[in-house]
Amino acid sequence: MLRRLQRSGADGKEPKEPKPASNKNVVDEKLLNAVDNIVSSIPKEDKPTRIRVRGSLLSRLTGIEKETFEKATEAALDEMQSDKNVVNLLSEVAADAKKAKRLPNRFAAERNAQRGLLLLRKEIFYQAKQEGYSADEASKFAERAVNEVEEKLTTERERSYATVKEDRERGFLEESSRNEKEQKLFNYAFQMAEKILYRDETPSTALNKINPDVKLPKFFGSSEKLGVFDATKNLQDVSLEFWRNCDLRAAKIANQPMGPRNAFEEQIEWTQKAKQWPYPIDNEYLLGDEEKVSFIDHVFLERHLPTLGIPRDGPIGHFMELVCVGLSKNPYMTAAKKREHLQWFSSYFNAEKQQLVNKLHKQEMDSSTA
Amino acid sequence: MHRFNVIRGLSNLAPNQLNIQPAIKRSPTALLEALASTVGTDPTAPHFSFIDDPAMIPTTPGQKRNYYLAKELGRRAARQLAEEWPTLFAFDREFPRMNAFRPQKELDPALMDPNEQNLWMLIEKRQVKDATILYEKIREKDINVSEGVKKDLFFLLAYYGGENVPFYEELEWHGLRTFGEADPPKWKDDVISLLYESIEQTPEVKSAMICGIIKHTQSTEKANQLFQEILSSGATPCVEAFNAVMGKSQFSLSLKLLQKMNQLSIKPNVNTFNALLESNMTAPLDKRQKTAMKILGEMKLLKIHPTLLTYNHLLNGIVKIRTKDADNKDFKPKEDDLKLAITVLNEIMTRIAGETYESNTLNDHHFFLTAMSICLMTKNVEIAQKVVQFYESPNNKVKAPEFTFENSFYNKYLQLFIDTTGDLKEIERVYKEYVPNRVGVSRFLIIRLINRLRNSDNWSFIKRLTEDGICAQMLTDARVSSDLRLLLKGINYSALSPTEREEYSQVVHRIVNALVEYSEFNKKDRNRLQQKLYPSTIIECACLLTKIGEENKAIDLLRMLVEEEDVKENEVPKVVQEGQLKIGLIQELFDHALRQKNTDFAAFIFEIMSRDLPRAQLKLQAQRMTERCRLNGEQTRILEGFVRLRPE
Repeated sequence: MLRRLQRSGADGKEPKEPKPASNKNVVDEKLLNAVDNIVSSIPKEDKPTRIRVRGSLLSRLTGIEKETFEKATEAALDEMQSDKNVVNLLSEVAADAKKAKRLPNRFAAERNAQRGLLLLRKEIFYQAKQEGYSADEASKFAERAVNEVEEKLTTERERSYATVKEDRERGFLEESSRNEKEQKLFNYAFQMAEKILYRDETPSTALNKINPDVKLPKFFGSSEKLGVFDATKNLQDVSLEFWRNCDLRAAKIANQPMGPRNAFEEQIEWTQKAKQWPYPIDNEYLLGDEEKVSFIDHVFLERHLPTLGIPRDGPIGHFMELVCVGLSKNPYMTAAKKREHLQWFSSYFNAEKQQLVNKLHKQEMDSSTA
Repeated sequence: MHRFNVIRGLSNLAPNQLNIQPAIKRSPTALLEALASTVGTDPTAPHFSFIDDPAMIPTTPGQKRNYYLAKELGRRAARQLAEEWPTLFAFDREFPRMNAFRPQKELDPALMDPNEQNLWMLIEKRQVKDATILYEKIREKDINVSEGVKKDLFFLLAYYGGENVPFYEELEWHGLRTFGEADPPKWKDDVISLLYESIEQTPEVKSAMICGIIKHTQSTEKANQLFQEILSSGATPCVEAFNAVMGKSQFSLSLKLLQKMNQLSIKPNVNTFNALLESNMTAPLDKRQKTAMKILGEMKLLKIHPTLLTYNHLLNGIVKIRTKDADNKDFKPKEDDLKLAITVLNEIMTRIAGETYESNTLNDHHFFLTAMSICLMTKNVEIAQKVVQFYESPNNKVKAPEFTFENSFYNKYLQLFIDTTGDLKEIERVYKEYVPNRVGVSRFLIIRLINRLRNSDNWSFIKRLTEDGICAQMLTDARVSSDLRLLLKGINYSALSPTEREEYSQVVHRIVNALVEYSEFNKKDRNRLQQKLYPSTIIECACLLTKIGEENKAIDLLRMLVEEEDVKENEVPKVVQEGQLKIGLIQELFDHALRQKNTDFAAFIFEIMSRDLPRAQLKLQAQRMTERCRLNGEQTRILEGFVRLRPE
């Protein structure tokens, strides 16, 4: 239907473009004159062409003017919107509109309430029909229920909260006389009517608040007892330790939160599981056997030299001293391994090797002096 | 020389001794615990385990469960891989070696050496089934095991019924503990009885047997028989055996057992009286109250301090916390019972206010849920606030699992607050504090709040509620989705500030785009995710779009109702053409189109209206359209013809 409506223009021709704003107000006079001059150049007999050309020229010029106007004012509009004073003014207007809305229009509110109750009557009618009542019965019940509900709410609201119980005892449509279905529909009507008539106020469910009764006897301050035990009697603790410990363990596990609640608790968990080094950080943590080894055994290795059976002076002695210095600076080797190294040198520098080294050393010395 | 003497003299005059204090011995976690004590919990932040990508933070209870379990199962799978394939990680070297990152697979008991040491190791690790298998092996090979180890094995089997440690005792995997479904209790009688016969049947052993039978089986016959055996032999059963039998007996019998305890000079503990209160629950109400008072008096005499479970039993003995009765009808407790329950609860809260409570039994945290249920039934916010205050205080060491019990606890509190508070600002404050991190977004909560916020001007609350509903996938629920749209429609747009209008517009766009996207899952093999667009949905969305000035988008949506959908071969339709049209909303759209003198828009609405309206009413609307939109003669004739063709 839309397409048909769109297709039908004024003379059954193609639909016109939306009528532009008055040209005199938008397009400059000089441009208007120019357009008139162009149109006058077309022969007077060809009226449709004249009209078409004039129309298209004017619409195009109007469009261009509008575009330039919008571009020119865009920045100003943005500036206006970002201006605090303007924004404050607009928000005040909005607030006034809100406030204005809040001014109580009693008649409108009453009209709305009545409209709401009418709809509620219809709703209760439909629901009653669905429950199986005939149209007549449903209509009568809906009428009755909504009237009573309205009256009940009005009276309850007018009294103070302390007398709510008295109202209930008055018994509109006595609860015992209503069957289950009717009661259910009545409760629904009550809730809906309350929302219609008294929205934004404390719901009546709050009126059903039950407070502690100071007249009731206290449970914990009572002097009554079972009369089984005597406070003076010496009682023994006969307990199954395994069972008690298991129960406490299960209780502790079941009543804990689900995992750490912050990064510190997470780190505590990791530390307890040995996934993180404990604070304060000790760089010898879990060092192993080396913890028991003193630095003396690592550094002072020259004391082992006399036991090796190697000469203490000469080239070999000098060499072994250098070996000891190098090993003392090595942090990656265990003390035992260092001693092994020295032992190896000891076995390497046997009597023959010593003689050879001495001989070579002597030759070198002689050649250097020569 | 003189200067030297002066200095020496001065040094003699100032003998300040420097005392080097010995180093304070601190535990490895002392520093971290001190730092942790300075950090509170932000109730508005998600749980620490979810703090990651904000887009992934779950909002509903179901999402929280799935996400938490997914993360945990990932870690468990990684652990299992590391256990199964240690050679893959052989070249990862670190110094010192951290064995925590080198999990070792538990040795198969069938492959273990059958000796006492291995058996003891399995008992220590609480690997019940493995210990049983190894013990069987030891027995087959007739290897001697000491009496002590056999007894420990027996105690372990009796405590767990011969099965492995249940999920609720899982220490490391919190998700498994909270969400794992426990198997029904079993009792491996053959294994346990065999072991029982082979060890010296001391009173402790018999007591353990009694406790195990009662814990894991429904029948107490054998347990009672054993109990009588101990008593008749002149021995003293342990207090745990007494507690177990009392908890399963009638109150009169339990009282006799208590008297027997006095006779035998056995000191009762708090669990004895908890069992007594539990057995008291079967008595009639009027007697129950008096008996409960007497039990508490007896506890006071023996200087036994009640635990949270004691209070829970006390409250449960006064009023039953349930929503349906035996015939599955709505259960409404009597007002007098509720009055008594709230009075007792008030007394309890006054009493426990400054005290410290640690966990003593498995179900200690149930007290909080019972207390909050009573507050909800009695509509008493003040006492509920006391309960919440105590739960959150550092004096309370008993914590409920966050995503199950705690969620229910705070959910009830929020419900109570919504039901009893008239000030929407106050409800908004509490809602924003608890939802969605402590209380998951649920259908019930959203519907309740929509009913409270209907026709309200509280844009910030409505915006928050709508966004929570969208994140909780409530747009896929037909009723909630419709209610949310109608709630937004009810807002007075002109009364909103420019920023609020912008927000409103964004929310509307978000809803419309989401619904259209849901409808576009229309490939035949993937259309289980599809949520088709119904006429009422389209109309409601169109109303919202016109409200924010997006008439063109509204027309695009309405076009789906008017034009036939081009459904390809392997696709299903996105729009359901049949369905109830909300005449009221359509009328509003039509009025809006006429006010704007927008012929195209009005024509769309008119065509949609024509499906439900009878001819007479349609004629009236056509007249209005002709006048307001200033239709020409041709258009008027088309319109009249269209109306004439409609059914009566």
